[in-house]
Formats: sequence, structure tokens, C-alpha cells
Amino acid sequence: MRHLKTALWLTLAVFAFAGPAAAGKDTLVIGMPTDVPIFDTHKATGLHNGSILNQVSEPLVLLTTKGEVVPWLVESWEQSKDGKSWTLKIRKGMKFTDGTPVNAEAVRFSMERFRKHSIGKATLAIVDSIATVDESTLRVTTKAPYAPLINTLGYHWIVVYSEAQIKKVGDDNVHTAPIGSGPFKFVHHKRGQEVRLEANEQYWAGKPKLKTVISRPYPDAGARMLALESGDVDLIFQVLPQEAARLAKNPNLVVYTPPSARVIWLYLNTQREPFKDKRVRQALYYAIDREAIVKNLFAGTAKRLHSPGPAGSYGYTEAYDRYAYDPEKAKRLLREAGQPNLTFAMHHTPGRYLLSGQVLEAIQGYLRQVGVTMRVVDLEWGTLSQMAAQPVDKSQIQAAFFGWRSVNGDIDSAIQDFGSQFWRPAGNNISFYKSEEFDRLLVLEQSTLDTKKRLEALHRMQEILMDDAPAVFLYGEPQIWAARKSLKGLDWNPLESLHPLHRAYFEE
Amino acid sequence: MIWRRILARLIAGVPALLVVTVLVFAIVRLIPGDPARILAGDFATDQMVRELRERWQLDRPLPVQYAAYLGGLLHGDLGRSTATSLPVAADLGERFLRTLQLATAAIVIGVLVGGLAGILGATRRASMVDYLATVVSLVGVSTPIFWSGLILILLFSVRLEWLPAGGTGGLAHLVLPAVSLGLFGAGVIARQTRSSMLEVLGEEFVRTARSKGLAERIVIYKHALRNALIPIVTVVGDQFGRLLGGAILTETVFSWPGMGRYLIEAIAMRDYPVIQAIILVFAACFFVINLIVDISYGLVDPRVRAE
Amino acid sequence: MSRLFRHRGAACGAAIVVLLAAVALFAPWLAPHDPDAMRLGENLRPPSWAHPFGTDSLGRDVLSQVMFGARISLVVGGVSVGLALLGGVPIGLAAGFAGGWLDRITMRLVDILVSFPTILLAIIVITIFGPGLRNAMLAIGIAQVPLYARLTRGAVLRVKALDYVLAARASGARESRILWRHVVPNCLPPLLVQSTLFFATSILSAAYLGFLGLGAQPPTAEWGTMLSKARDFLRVAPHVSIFPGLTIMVTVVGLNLLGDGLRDVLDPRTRAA
Repeated sequence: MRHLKTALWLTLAVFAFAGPAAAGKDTLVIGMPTDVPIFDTHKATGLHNGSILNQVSEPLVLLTTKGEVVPWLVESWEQSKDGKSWTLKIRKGMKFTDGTPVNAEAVRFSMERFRKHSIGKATLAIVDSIATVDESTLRVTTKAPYAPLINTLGYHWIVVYSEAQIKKVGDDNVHTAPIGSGPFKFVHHKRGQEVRLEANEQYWAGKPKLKTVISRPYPDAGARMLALESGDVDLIFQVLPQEAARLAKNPNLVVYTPPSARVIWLYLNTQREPFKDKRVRQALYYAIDREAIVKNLFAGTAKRLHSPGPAGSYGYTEAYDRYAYDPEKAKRLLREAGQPNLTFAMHHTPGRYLLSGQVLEAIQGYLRQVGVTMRVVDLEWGTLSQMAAQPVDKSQIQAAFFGWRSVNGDIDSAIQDFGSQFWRPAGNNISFYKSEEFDRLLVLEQSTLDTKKRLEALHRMQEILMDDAPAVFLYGEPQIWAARKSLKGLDWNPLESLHPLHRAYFEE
Repeated sequence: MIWRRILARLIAGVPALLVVTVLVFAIVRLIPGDPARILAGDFATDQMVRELRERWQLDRPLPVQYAAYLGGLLHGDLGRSTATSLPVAADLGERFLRTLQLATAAIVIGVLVGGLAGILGATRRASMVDYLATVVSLVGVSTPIFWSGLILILLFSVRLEWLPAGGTGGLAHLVLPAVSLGLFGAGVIARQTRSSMLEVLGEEFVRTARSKGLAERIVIYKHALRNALIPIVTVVGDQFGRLLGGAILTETVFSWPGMGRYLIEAIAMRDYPVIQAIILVFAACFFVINLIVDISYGLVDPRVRAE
Repeated sequence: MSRLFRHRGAACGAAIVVLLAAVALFAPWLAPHDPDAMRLGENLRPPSWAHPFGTDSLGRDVLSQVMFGARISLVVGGVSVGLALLGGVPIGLAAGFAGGWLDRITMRLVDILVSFPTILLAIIVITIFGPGLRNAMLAIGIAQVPLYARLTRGAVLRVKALDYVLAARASGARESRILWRHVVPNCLPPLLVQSTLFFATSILSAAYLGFLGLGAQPPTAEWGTMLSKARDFLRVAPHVSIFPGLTIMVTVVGLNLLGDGLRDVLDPRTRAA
């Protein structure tokens, strides 16, 4: 009996240390699919974590889901007549939370820091030099005239950190105490458990209404939803499409699906077997029932793509998608191309894109019906991006599952990467696609001021891409969030990241 | 007297631990490829690879490498995670405690439930209670841990909405994972308790105690259980080790931020320094538990104590 | 044999095992649908006449998948037991026959390794050699070698101590022949019992690894792998999680009952009081 009592006390003692309790009305708890790997935006990977990272360190401009560019740290911008240089005016009077000013030099320093890392190198490849003109003016020169530069600068991984802080803790330790100018300050990051931020009362755009923001990783989609429904968290991301309808019926919750600029493609390496042959590439289109995937796997929340997309961007046309679901035609094409029993490898990063595992399994099934065996190779994102960055003679990729984005609402930014000068590693032409006509049209549409000619060029380019199929353009990925109804003041960018949360609050 | 025995056992356990370190050390070297690049990760610059090679003596013969590795261990240096570039030891400490929390709660549940079921079954042999207890423990042993976890979530989190399904944040979050993991061990403990108790209850001294008119309860708990403890203690120790393995699954199902889930994440990320460190800690734990069981043998077994 | 049939538990267990083996062998004829046939339009449907176990997230029939999964489990159990026998028995024989320091060292090693968690060992093997069913089976088999070695050695020692063996030795008969004649029948019972129980745990271990994504890879319809994919849809379609798990449980219960029954019948020393 004595032993029993001891056992009971022991049990209670163990349970007591299980951790602190839940949150109050001025604390926002977010449930994310992944943990922040390292709280340093310039080095971090992981699509979803921008929402949290950017509450501490801010991007230069904000991109809205309507395709607009909103001034943020950069107040105004101007492109020079020759198109190769940009003058950016930094907003005056902003301070980092350590008191140092947010000025042109600070921005320059952070941009250069970003460029040192692999994501930065690729994103800002077009940038030649960044120089401070005066206290609040920055001049960015590009290697070639590039109209959408300001959109690129809105890429929310280009953020500004306090240079003084970086010098103080050392470049390798920024994540231990990052200092930015954002609406919230970094408190701690308990890996695998939570990131905790507290309000920056001196925030330049206004004092945040919330006191604390906490982000917790819930890799299991089901657990994430349960956490929201039970009240453990107030906001979650990447809700399963099948669940979205059910959650929407819950009177205490609301489901948000802000327009997403992310499109999902299957890149096919056109310089390597087996996808050197156009017929093989087209066969994939006929073999995969894209409609069924959108309708059933995504419960209709994803957008069908009839062009490299995304739907709704300027210049988008559906006219050239001539591929209906036709397995017999696929088989015929494969036979003609001499590949009746094709086997190839598809590289992919699990957990990065919504339901990618399911989509690939479905595609595997479809391909098996036409005699094609697709082997899925799962790699961690860093490894995959490195592999995809190899030049054409070293590339081991036959096919890769990637998400792409167009951020400026113009279809140009989605398809321009298929120009042959953009073969990896110089640009983003992961397919190593080459078409002389396409290249010619690309130059034309990027430089002409004749809108009618430009539109024609854009249409013709889409026709070429749909016909040549350097990638299978699958669908537009939905961005599904769900939150407590009382949570107001949320906003997003088209890249699935939350805008600064200083206006967020809980309504009584 | 007793302390000397404990000390002897501890010293005897050291070679076992060393064997563990050798095995773990061997893992990375067995993987095809350059160990320096493997430990440095996919993002390492050539400079980082060179530094790593120097630090762990990777171009010297294996015994030298092992000495370097062991030296590092004794200083608490478990290398740097390739995913975060942070020293592994720091993160590991916290996550280890979390796993320990889970495993301890689970073993307590397992012992309480299993022990009780076993005693009930033994004392009410061949009755309905015994039959039920046997069936339940059989099912407990046969159910895949992750499945029972999923069913618990379905029942208690989804349908009844009584308990949270995972993550951290309070006592309530520990209940389901601990129960799920605990029931796994409870089945085995129940079976062993029952058969040990049955053996002991049939022995002479029990009959003597009974004939002396002692209350049944005292007979059971004070006399019989004491003597039945040895194999039970072995089984509990066994199960604690098995629970550590099971924790890997339970932590995955319930998103519990412990060492097990950390291992699975590290495998997905090919973060070899972390994988190596966690395997080492798991194996070391397992050996320490064995040691404790060994020692408690000496404390519990009346024949041994009499020495 | 007849005693086995009279043992209620063993009879039950045997019935389950036979049923499962039959399903596994005749799956191509018994399964109502092709387990790989996707019908996206009918995904996540609850159990119905057409699909007694419902459909999964890609519209595949869960019952058919479970049936074909039985084949995989059968192979996993067989290969793992085979490996354990192949590895453990020779070691046990060598230690038992040799005696002396070889025996002592081997047994010390065996004592240390015998309860090492299988899943940890499997993870180690998979870390080195990569994920997949093959490596999983290798690891699971190896993990049981120490126990098989110990059982075999125990049998050898028992034989060595038998009266008529001692007598035979004393009278000068060739030792090896006598030992061989008696060792095998002595080994068989514990090894048979252990193999039945181990068949069960190896199916469980394979399912664990499949669930963690380290074992059988999709689209292989292993029970554990099926459950790892079903997790996301636990709320919308719990049947995809319930049925494969239930199947694992029933299979393992059957094997355990059979093993326990065999132990009761064949190994009188450990018969429960």
C-alpha cells in the first residue's frame, strides 16, 4: 500500500512538469506545419516560416494578393531610363529594436548578407551592385534591364536586420538574438516546441494590438486541426482541403483562402533521356488526369492550370491546353517514341507543398496505367535545390516536383525562366529548355511598349510552352488558413506568408 | 556491503558502454561516402569540411579517430547539427528530458495497470476477471503502438473532445501519449506478474502464512509479491528499454517533442551528427537501465541480500 | 499434436493464422478489386457493399490492399525468422558445444544484446543502408539472433547433461554422433515456440518501420505504410486507419495465441501453474 502511494505521487510529480498552460486574449498562438529550422531569415529554409520570421525582420516592400506592391521599408522607387538602375528611398525615422536606425546602409548590409547564401544568390542573380547614395537612398543596378525588380525585392526572405547586432553576436549566431524592425521582438525559439515573440511597442507602423505571438509546429495535419478546434491554437496554416468545408461550418472558426501565386509544375529535363523526346513529355500530359486531381484530392480548392499560369495573371490564356485525359493516346505516343516501358525518377521534397505526396502517388498510378514506372525520390529541400542548381552536363535530374510563383501578376514572370539563357545555374530554367522562337519572343515582350504586340507575344509563348511541354503544368496550389472567428486584422501575401501582424487583434 | 556490489556492477557496465560508443562511431564510417562530407552535411563549404576533418581526425587511422570521438564525448561535444549548425548537445538535452518524461509516465501507468491486472488474474484464477485480464493483456501486447495511439486520438480527441491530440502545453497533453505507450508495456507486465504470482502463491511459505491466519491482503502483498518481484523487475526493466523504442512511434503520432521524433526528423534531413548522437543516447539509456535492473536484482532478491 | 488442438487458445490462434495465410496466398483471386486501381472520384468513401473496408485517399479499395498486405507480412515474417535461425542457431550450437571461454564471452554478448529494442537496431541499419522493406527485414532478423543463439545453446547444454548421454560418453561412444541425435529434438520445441512469437513481432516491427516511412515504401501496400498515409485523414475517413490496424492486431493475436499454446504443450517446464 505504501508503495502504491509513492507510485501515485511519482506519477503526479512527473505530470506536473509537463509544461506551461495555454494563452489569453492578447496572445496569438499559430500552428504551423513545420518548425523554423533556424531563426535567421537569410539562412532559413522552409516555405511556411516566413510568416513568423517576418514579424521580427521586415521585407523591403509588401506584395498583396491583388498583385500590388505596397511600400514598406522602401517608401518609393524609380527605375532609370536605361532600365538598369533603380533608386530606392528608405522611409525615414524607423529604428531597429536595439535603437539603431533603419537606413540605406542597414538595408544594403542586409541585402549583401542575403546574397551570400544560396537562396539569395539565385533570387538576386540579376542584381549587379547595391550602393548607398545617402542616408536614406539606395541605388541598385542590374545586369540587364529588368522591369519587375521591385517585385523581386518584395520576396519576403529579403529582410533587414540590425547590423550592429550582427556584429555584436557574430554572423553565425544571429538566430540566438535576432534584431529587426518588425512589429514583434524575438524572445526565444525552443526547437520543436515553440517560437515566442513579444510586441515591439515602438513599431514604426503603429503599436501592435497583440502582446505576444507564439508559433508551434504541428507536422501532423490532423493534430493541427484538432489544436485549432480545441482552442490550443488560434490560427493554422495548410488545412487539408477535405477538412476546409467541415471547418467552415464551425460557428467559431473561419477558413481563409487568399489567392496564391504558387503553381505546381513537374519539371522535365529536356536535355536528358527520356524527356529529350517531345512525345514522351506530351504523353505525360495525356496520361495524367489533372482534372480529377484538382477535383478529388483538393476538393476543388486548387486551380486548374491551362498554361504555365497562374490563372488571373495578365496575359494568361487557356486556349492552348490541348491535352485532355487520354491514356490510350499516351500509350500510343510512348510506343511511337520507342518507350513502351519507361522508367524514370521524380525528385521531390515531402511536406513542402500541400498534399504533394498524395498527388505524386496519384500520378504514379496514372502513369502505371500507361506502362510508365515513376520512382519517387524524396529529398530534403536543401539537397534538392542543390541538385537542381547543377549545370546541364552535371544534372542528375530527370524530373522534379516544384512549386513556382509569379509575384507581379504578369504571366511574364512565370514563363520568362524558360528562356535558354536561364539554364541553371544562371537562371531558373530547370528543364534546360531551349527554343529559339521562344527566346526571340521573350526579348520582344520584355522590351516592347506596344501592349498589343506584347500580348500577342505572351500568347504565342504560352502556345509554344504548352506544345513543347518542358514541364507538366499541374495546378495552382491553394493557400488554406483557418482561424478563430474573433481574430481580426490578418492579411497575406500571395506566397502564403502573413503580412506584419501589428493590426491583428481578438475581437471581444 | 551493498554499495560495494553496486560499484562492482557499475564498473562491469563500463565496457558495455564503450562497446556502444564503438558501434555508434562505426555507423557513420559504414555509410558509403566520405565521412567528413557526411558529417558536414549538404550545405557545407569546403572550408567547413576541412575543419571537420581536422577536428575529428578523419584522415588518420580508425583508432585515432575513435580516440578523438571518445574525447569529444567526454567533453560533452556531440558535434554540430547539419540542419541548424548548432551544437547537438544543447537541443538534445531538452528533448531527452521530454522523452524521459513520457517514458516515465508510461512505465508508471504500465506498472500500475499491468501489475494490478496480473495480481487480479493470479488471485482470482480461472475466473471471469482472470479471463478478461488475460484477453486485455494479450490484446495490449499485440496492438501496434501507433495504431492504439491513433484510436485514442480518434476516441478522446476527435469524437469526445476531452483531450488534446498532441504537442505540448500542459498536463493534458501528456495523458494520451503516456497512456498509449503505457498500455503497450502493461500487457507484458501483466502476463509476467500473473505467472510469477501464480508460481509463488503455490509455494510452501505462502500456505504457512495463510494457515497462520494472516489477512489475505497481507499475504498477497507482503509475502507473495515480494518474492515474485524478481522476474517482474526484469520484465519492467526490459519494457523500459522497449518503451524507449516505442517512444519513437508515440512521439511521432502525438507530435511530442522528444528525442524519438527528433531522430525521425534527423533521418529525413540526413542530419548525421544528430542521428549519431541520438542513437548513442538511446543505446546508453538502454544499457543504464539494464544496469539498474541488475543492481535492483541484488536489492530485491532475498537470497542475494542475505550475503 | 492432438494435445495442441485441445488447447483452446492454440486452436483459436491456429485458425486465425491459417485464415490469414490462405488470404495471403489466394489474394489475387480473393481480392474484390485491384489494390492499385485508383479511382480518384471515389476517394475516402466509408465502408459499403462495393468496398467493405472503404476506399483510401486515392480511391483504392482498402480491403484489397489489406489482403495484398497480408502477402507482404507473410514474407516479412518468413524472411526474418529465417535470418534469425540462420544466424542464431549456429552461434548457439558453437557456444554450447565448445564451452569454456568461447561460451562465456558469447553468452555475455548475447545477454547484453538480447533485449536491445528492435526498432532502434532497424533504424541503425536503415541509416547506413537506406530505407526499404529489404533492409527492414534484414534488421528485424538480425535483432533476434541473440535470443535464438541463447535458446539453441540452452538446448545443447540440456542434452549434454542427459543421463544416457553421459552414460554413452562414459562407454566411449562417439560424442558428436550422440549429441547430434539428441540436440535436434531438444532444440525444436523452444525454437518453434520462439519462431511463432517472433513471426508476430516481426510483422509488428515491419509495420512500425512502414509507419515511420523507413520500411516498405509507397505504393507497396504494407499495413504499416498504409497507416502512415491514413493519418492525415483520421477525421474525415477513420476507416482507412481502423481496418489495417485491426488486421495487424488480429494477426499478431493469432500468432501469439498459437505460440503460447505451443509453449504450453511442448515446453512443460514453462507451463503456467
